[in-house]
Amino acid sequence: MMISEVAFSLLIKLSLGMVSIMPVIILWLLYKDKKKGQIW
Amino acid sequence: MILLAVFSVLWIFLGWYWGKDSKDLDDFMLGGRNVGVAMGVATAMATWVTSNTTMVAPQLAYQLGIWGMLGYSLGSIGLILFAPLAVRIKKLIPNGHTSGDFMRLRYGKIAWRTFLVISLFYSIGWLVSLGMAAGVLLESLSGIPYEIGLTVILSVCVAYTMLGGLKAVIGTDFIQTIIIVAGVSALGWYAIDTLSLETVYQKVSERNSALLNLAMPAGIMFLFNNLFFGVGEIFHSNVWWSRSFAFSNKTAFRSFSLAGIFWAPIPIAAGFIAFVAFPLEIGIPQADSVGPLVASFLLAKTGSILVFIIVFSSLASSLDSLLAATSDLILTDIYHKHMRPNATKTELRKKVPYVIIILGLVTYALCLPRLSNLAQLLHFTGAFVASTIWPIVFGLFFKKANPKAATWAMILGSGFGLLGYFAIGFYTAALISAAVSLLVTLIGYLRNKVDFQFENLKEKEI
Repeated sequence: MMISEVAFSLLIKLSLGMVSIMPVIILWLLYKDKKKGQIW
Repeated sequence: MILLAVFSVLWIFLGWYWGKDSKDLDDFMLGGRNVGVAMGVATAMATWVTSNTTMVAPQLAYQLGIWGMLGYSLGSIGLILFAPLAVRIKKLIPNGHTSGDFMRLRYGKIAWRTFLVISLFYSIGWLVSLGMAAGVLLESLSGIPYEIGLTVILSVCVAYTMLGGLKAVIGTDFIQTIIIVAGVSALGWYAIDTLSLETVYQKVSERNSALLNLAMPAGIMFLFNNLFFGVGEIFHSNVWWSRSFAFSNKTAFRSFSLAGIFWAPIPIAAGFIAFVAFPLEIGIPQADSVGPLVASFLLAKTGSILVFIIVFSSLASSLDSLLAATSDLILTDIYHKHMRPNATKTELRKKVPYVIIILGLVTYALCLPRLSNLAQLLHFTGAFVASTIWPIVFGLFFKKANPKAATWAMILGSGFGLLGYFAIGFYTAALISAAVSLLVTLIGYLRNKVDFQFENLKEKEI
């Protein structure tokens, strides 16, 4: 049973999309921590 | 060579800068026990993204197809499942320093020492495989000789871990995470933009349709084995326990669960690069070189530089964590508890740099001869680490978890796991080990009449 082309595209695009927005999310989390004064 | 020098100086400077106030033992070993969510998420992600994730994920996609990528991505389950454990660990052992502390206080000396053997064997196996990967990968990516690549990466990691302790490790992990994810996504999107996903899919199905087959037996077996291997690695290793102690009470759960969710797509994004080899019609002499070959084919010199930076960051982010966590285990569980039980915190703090240097030297000595079978050491450890999963889970949550059964679960689980490794294949070792360990732990639990008092885990501070 082969994975369909649509499912394959969705899997790759979703993964790459998530990986791409990660730096933004992590920096945003750092900004929030900094505002709370709790980086470490 | 210039890139290597720039990053080396940067990491060492940052290690010194972040660690200059870490005079106290808890500050040095556990970053002051108050690490926030952003640093927590980034350090858990970076540590779990090893050179294996960025290099072996494409290799597995190339050999095992879709299941290779998905199986690797299941490594994230270990991080997600560790989130509730981290909360429990912080609640039960507020003054703890290592995973060894828990085994000693919960199960007694025999189980603790058995656990230490497993944990140190695993740590050395991981350190050696990372050290050797550093030398081999830098050589293949940039032509820097094996000995020089190994020496530079190991010395840089030893230097900044020694200077800054866990804060240096966590801080550099934060930057390395951003570099890794930005690099992996840039490479993936560039490949899609150049070739289109439709072309990639069609060429893979023409050339090797088995890779897109969802019923590939070896791939499915690998998927489950990798799940237990990953869970075992995370549940027992002091790399993760030290982070539990380091994260604040409010951030431990969020840090681990978010790190798991964020980590999951990375092996898929990195693994996808292997599929691009088919439409590009690149001849792949060895499956483990598929990632760098595709990158350099797609982006020429820029691609090689990008892969070099990603790999260097992946290696450093795991090596530093492992050096810090293993030296903590050696310092507190071996030196303090076995050799100098009356040592003060100040005395222990002074010894930390020496332990890190000795550990670095041992790793260097093992990596230098470039024995290829040593690099396989990590594969063996799947049988060992998976045997610790159930003793840890039962010990943390159930009063009737049995000390004798915990020891036997680790011994028998490891033994049968190794048997599976040699008799069937590497992809069964962790699976068999976890199953045997569960059976023994469960029998011990059902037969145990004595309730453990969790209050006994609250040991006085050193």
